[in-house]
Amino acid sequence: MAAKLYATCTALLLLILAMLGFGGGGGFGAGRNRADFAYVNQSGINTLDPAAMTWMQDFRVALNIWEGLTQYDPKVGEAVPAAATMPEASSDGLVYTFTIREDARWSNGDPVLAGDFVRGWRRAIEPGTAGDYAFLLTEHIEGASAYFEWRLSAVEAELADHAQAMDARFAKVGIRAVDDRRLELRLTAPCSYLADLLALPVFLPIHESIERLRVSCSDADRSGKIMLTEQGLVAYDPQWTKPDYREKGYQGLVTNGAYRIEDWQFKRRLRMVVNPYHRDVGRIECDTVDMVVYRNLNAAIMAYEAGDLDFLPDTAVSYTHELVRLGRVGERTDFVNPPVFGTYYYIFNCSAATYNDRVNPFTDARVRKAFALAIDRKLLVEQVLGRGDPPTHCLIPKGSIPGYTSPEGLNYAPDEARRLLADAGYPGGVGLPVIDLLYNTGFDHGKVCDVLGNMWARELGVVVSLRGKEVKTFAEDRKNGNFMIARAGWYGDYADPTTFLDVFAGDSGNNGGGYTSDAYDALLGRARVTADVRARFRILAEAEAMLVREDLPLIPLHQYTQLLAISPRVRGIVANDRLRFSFSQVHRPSASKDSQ
Amino acid sequence: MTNARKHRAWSRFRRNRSAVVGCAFLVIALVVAVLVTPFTLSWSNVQNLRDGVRMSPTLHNVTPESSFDDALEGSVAQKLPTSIARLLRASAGVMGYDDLGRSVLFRVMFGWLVSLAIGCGAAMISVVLGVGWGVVAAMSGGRVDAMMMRVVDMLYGLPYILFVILLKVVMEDPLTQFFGGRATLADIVILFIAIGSVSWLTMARMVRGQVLSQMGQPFVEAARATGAAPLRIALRHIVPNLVGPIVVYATLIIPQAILQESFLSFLGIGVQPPTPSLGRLASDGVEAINSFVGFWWLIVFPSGVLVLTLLAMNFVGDGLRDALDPKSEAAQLI
Repeated sequence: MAAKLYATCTALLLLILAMLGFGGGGGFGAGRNRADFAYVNQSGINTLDPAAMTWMQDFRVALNIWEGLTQYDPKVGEAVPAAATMPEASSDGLVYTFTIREDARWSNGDPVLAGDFVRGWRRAIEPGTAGDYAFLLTEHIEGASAYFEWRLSAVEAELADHAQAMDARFAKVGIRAVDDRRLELRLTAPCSYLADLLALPVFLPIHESIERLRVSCSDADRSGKIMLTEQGLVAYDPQWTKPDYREKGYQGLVTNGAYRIEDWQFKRRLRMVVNPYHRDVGRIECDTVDMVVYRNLNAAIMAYEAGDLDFLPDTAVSYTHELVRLGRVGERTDFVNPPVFGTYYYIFNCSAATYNDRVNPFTDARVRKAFALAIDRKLLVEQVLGRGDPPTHCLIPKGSIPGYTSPEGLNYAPDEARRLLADAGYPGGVGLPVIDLLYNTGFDHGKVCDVLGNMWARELGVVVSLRGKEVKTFAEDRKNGNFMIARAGWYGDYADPTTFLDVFAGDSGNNGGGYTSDAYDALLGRARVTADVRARFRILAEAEAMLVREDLPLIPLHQYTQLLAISPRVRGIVANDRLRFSFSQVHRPSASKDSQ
Repeated sequence: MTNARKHRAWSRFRRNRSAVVGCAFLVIALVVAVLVTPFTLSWSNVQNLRDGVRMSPTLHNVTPESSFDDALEGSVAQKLPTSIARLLRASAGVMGYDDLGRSVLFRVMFGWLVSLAIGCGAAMISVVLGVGWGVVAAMSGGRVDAMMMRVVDMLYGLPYILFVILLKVVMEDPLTQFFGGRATLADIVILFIAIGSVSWLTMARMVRGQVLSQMGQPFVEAARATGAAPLRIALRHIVPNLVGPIVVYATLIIPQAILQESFLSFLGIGVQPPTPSLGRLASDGVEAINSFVGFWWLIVFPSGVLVLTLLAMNFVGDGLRDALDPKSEAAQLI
């Protein structure tokens, strides 16, 4: 009997193990396949097209496999020269000439040329290939905006004539390859944070082999091929970012960074190997890097504990606060929790008169202000979140931009909140409709929303209704203004206040609340043409004060922190407020292949 | 059913110990939960952020009495004896406190009722729809019967979760508007419509089979011979004879619906926070299972209550089936 029981148990155990093995195959870093360095990502890569990408995890991969003119160095904390040497600038600060390093190489050995940058940047402002970040070029580079507008008009134009005119028109844009190695950049206005800008993926070079995959259409009249789609757009076979795509002589994705992609298993794993032609190849210790996808971060943390992963750039689980505490008391020195360049806030729908047949009271700034004044951030951040996120009353993280001082925002003042609400015609919350709070499910968002709702109900006497949605429908609802109050957050991209303030500009695509203020837009416009950095920062601080003291299209809650888990087996991952990580800097003190 | 048969069925049910225990548990729990609902309705959402966050089970209540009193303002609970309020307040901490310093006991009590309401609502819908559909199909016979049963087959083929999600998406906004923006009510109604509308299929098949076998019985033929209309035959002669199987099946649908509600809430498409339900409580607590900290009370109590409830209902269902089964009647007569 006992023997039979034992046999059954063993068989069951084996079955479970076999199932686990099948379920996790390939996705896990353990075993003979383990990379020198493995980190985790909750979702897969969305796109590897530098012109189109907007997600942090895509940035992270792109900036390790490509190399821009400059590169954000986590160790230094700012952008440093990368594929080019320090540029020569004209005296008026408008024209920059970069010289590409002689030893800059693509992963197939080709030299990196100035033309490759022109190709990349041109893609970034071509209506067919441009993405959300195109505004960085159209705003800062001379003629880029005009070119973009002209190309948009292509739909009505004769395609063949239009295609011929394209190069001539592009010549007026302030991007020019002087010769193979020299690149000239003409700006619309002096830009003190140019180096930081150029380190973003939208400014990466693109290898010429992509042209093989350009989509063309034929012109019946002239029996010629036009390298445009029938809508007059520039388009490429979307498979061009795949490392093993062989079509029309394309040899797979070629990149110029420290790594190249070797294998990309959709939503499972992305393997990077060192680029043998890169100038730093001798100094790079991790030859292979894996980005492993774990949907469930709780499982990722367990895999990290088991030694299957070396680095978790994201550890948003319900017990994150406990991990933070362990890191803080020194029990787990591998958990670090740096404040990052981002702010967590809630936005109001400032424009829609009604929402779901209910009057939207938040078109009145007094009501918005009352709701903002009724929030006790300290309680929220310290007791509920407990991750050490600094509470904030303004939009731009304090002290994150050298030379810029954020204005003081509105503190917790429930009495004043009630007074303002009464002034607006809703004494004690009477007359207000049920207030809808929209958030995306997952992590602590629901908790925060619940706490805010409770505070508003208690302090202002309003009735709230929480609406948690899956992130994609949530984003859609928020973008379309289908909400009353919604959760939001913003991470800055470059060291300038406008990276945050532009979100609330009248014409911004990210301004979901529909806040428009001529005075605010005028301030941003004035800052754009002000060359003196200090005067410019003063104007921008005035604009920020308008947001967080007067108009309140948002309620800032706290600056983000991000808990990173960095295995003691590796060194060189430096916690930084931009969450950019250079895998080429990683080294392994016990490099004697201990994992084998 | 004659009185004597009722009596015999009841005595059989009484002899089934697990069924009686289950029944007692459910009745007592229901009485207690309903009795305290005026309090738990508002108290399940009283947060204590200052010193209650994730506090482990304790015999002392840490939430200030004033917060509880404020939450009751204008509620019927103020008219109830203060001794209940005092007893409840004192025991607020026995199941610990959650992430926002809310009493897990109150949340479990109210959540249990929400889950049960959804379960019973769904069972009711499924009884009405299933019995109606089955009886009509069986009595019409021929083409109508075939068509109606093919509809059932088709609905069987639909992936059920997808169907529920679809229903929810379509009905959510109109219903929320109907309830004046109170999404919670809309959620609960949608859930029991959604679950009810997918769980009547088996009921319809079973009822149709039973009706068909009854149709050949002499008493139906006698009724028909006296010129009774089909509706009268159905309501007076056939359905009363099906009460046994229907009751049994309905008691088994309730736990199934509760489980489905838990599953849907677990996926995040059930009731919206802060309204608790057993599934949502368990889903909120599930990350308590990790290798760093154990907030075990966040997962153990809601899931424990869920398990107990489901067990009790299944026992009662089993007991009823045995008690009402004509075959066991026959066995006893022999």
